[in-house]
Amino acid sequence: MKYGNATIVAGGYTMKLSRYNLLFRLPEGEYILYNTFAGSMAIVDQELKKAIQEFEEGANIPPEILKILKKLGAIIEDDVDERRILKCMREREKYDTEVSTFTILPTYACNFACSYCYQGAGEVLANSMANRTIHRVVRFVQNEVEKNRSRKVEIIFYGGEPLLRSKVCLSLLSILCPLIEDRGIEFQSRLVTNGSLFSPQLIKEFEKYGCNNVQITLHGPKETHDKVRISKDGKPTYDLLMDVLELLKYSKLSPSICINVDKENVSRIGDLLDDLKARGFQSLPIAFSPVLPVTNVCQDYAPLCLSEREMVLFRDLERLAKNKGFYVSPRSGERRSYLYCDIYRKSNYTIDPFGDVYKCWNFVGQKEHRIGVINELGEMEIEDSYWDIMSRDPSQIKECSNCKILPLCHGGCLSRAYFRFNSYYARGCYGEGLLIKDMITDLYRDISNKPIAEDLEGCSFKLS
Amino acid sequence: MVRQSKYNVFVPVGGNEYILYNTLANSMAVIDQELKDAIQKAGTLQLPYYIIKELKELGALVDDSFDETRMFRCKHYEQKYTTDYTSFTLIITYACNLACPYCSQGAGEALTEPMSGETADIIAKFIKKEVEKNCSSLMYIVLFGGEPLLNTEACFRILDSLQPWAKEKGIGLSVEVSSNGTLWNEELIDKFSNYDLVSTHIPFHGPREVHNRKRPFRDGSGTFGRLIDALIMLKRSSIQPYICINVDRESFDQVEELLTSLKKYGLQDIPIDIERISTEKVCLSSTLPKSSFACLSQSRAAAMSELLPILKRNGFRMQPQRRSYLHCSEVAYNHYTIDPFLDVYKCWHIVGLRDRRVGIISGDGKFEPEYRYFDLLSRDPLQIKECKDCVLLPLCCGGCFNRALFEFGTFHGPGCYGDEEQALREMIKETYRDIQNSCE
Repeated sequence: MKYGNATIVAGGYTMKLSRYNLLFRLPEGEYILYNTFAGSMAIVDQELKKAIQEFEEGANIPPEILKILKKLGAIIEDDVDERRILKCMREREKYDTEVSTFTILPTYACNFACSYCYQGAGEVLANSMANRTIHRVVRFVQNEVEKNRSRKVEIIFYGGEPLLRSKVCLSLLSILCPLIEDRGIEFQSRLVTNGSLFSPQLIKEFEKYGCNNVQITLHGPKETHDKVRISKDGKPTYDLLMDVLELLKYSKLSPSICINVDKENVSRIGDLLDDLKARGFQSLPIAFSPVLPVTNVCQDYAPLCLSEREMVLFRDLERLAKNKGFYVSPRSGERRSYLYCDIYRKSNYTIDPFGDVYKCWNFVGQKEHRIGVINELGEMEIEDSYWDIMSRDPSQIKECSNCKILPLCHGGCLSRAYFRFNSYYARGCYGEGLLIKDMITDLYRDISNKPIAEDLEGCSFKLS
Repeated sequence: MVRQSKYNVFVPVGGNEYILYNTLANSMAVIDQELKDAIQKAGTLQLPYYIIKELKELGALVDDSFDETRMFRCKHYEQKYTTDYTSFTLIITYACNLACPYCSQGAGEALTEPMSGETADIIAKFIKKEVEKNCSSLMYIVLFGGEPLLNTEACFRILDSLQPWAKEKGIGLSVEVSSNGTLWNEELIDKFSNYDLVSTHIPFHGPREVHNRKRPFRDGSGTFGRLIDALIMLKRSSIQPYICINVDRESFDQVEELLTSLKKYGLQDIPIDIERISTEKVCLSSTLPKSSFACLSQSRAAAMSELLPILKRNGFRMQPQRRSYLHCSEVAYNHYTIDPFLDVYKCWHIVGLRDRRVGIISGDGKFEPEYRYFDLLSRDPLQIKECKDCVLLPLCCGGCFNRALFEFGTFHGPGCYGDEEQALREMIKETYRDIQNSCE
């Protein structure tokens, strides 16, 4: 029996290679075959690797091996276009409204003056939400939740610094929480804050409304943190935040830590982790986030940001944290999702103090990205950006449609695409392709229990 | 800067006047030649701001930077993937008591399998799971065949399982019995009246003589009289009847004659639906000679543009239809057509053709899709060359995927007849006349 292009193989189908196979050479001369679409992995020897690569030229693969390769998704039926399956799954997820998420900015003002702030540290815009707007927002949330028939509602307070207007947050929660829960819908809220304004009293108030997560940002250990994340009057904030974390640790607000990373502090993250551990914060989930220029306001900081190539360092950081006993939250591309980010979902909204609606947190305050305005009836009057953003389809983006890691990255980050290429319809990845290699190394290590050389060769993914 | 929408249609209505219709916004205005010229030259011509504002509201002018196809894409995809409701067409049996010569299923001779009780239970289980997963507030069940009323046991088994469950969950249940209409009797009507929101389509194929020839019982006798009796009974019940008029080349000209006789029985208050017997549907049946039928070689839109004035003239009205951004509800993610073998199809026109199924329901009530499912679901009219820049895209939405498959051998081709624009122009004029009349 012959195999290959025009030959019918067992099962009555013509077969072809998946477009999502990656091959990496292991030091022993074997290869890892990883399929990004199926999420499957196999170790193949040199001979089989050659046969797979030459499959479409008619290379001979024994039927029992072929069966396995089919199961792994490495070889697929000829009429299958995996991109179509991805597209269906992606659109399905985009319009799945089981969860409605509202990120609300009670104010643009901030009591910090971080040098890299993409919002200009509350100096470009400093407005807060007025009472009238609060009522519009409440009506909007009610309307959308009803339309979406969601089972779960999430409110995220963001800013500016949301706790500068804790009254706005609490008044929104006190109205929305019972309204939503009375309808048998799960209600959750969380806070993304610089953390500096928490008091035991405030913590209690947020606990009352089921707020169950607070994300606090650190910029490396005390030394690097206090250079960048300073209060408006120039005071350092690291020690204060450590006290706050101590307070929060025993509350129901279960804090998590976002660690911002740039060229300046990347080598010092170990010190931060050690300090957190010494203070007993090892149980708090952490996530690493690259500082990247996403607006013109923070352009000056660009030289200090990590390059796309340097994104591989994030794997090292995550490994370091895990080795020190921390739990690291999964990154986009590691989650089981067909969307890079939740903001692509229809039922995900970001609302600023004016009642303007945006998709992405990074766009707030930039009216050209506004997707709508909430009117007195609590309805969103849709603007053109809504259609522009919601119709973004990575399979129509040149670099993405032929990219082998599309099934993991799904076109990447919207604001990054816009900032780098001045269009929503551009690739929004930033090093994801390079991180894949590392992820697969880790996977292999976990499965085989074998240490392998750090550098895998032959990844067919190239950075565009 | 503004420019003209790519979805404007201008229809001259005599004198110096035109109707401006925008297919995306579904808006209409009467304008004069001067304004028409100005709209078409928008971007180069200076218009007063208040006129620009109004034309923008009508969708006739758009901002230069705005790509309207994106708006269509969103609306199309949103509707395609909405799970506000979930709908199921169930082939209760392949058997039929009629022998219509044009039947795309081979008139219950190619396949006769009824749905077993066990299968009905699996389907009910699947429906509940799916509706629950989708968080739908409404589910549509279409009991289809063959002739579904030949297997009422399965019908009631499914409905009796779904109705109390739906009530408990606060989910609306809407049932349509898609029957040939010959088996309705008082007892059956009573039984079906126990469920909420039941409707049924009674299909006619021309006036008595033609109908009896085209839709006979298996022994060759006519069914026309039986259908009239059924309609009279149904009218008195809580079941909402619809008259479905099947049209082909032969019966097309006899629609008025049919309406006249329906009127005689006092049935003009029953809403009408039009079903076109077309080549791609009939030719799907492997049992039929391909050329022997008087199929309509025009689109539904074209047929409708001719038939609507006849309906109105005779005091009948159409079954109301919602503005949709899908060619038909079958292309939606949330629609399943399931047969007695637990094979899943997208569209009821192709049931029984196993090589067209999109997946199966497993014994434990799970949908297992095949690649064809994704191939079909990913059909995107904006990626079809002929559709991408068509002024009718927002109305036709790429047309029928079966027709595309029939004509081009792939789902990813245009599924229209090419006569839709002319039909639209006729419909616009008709609507304009209606408005004029109502103003007078």
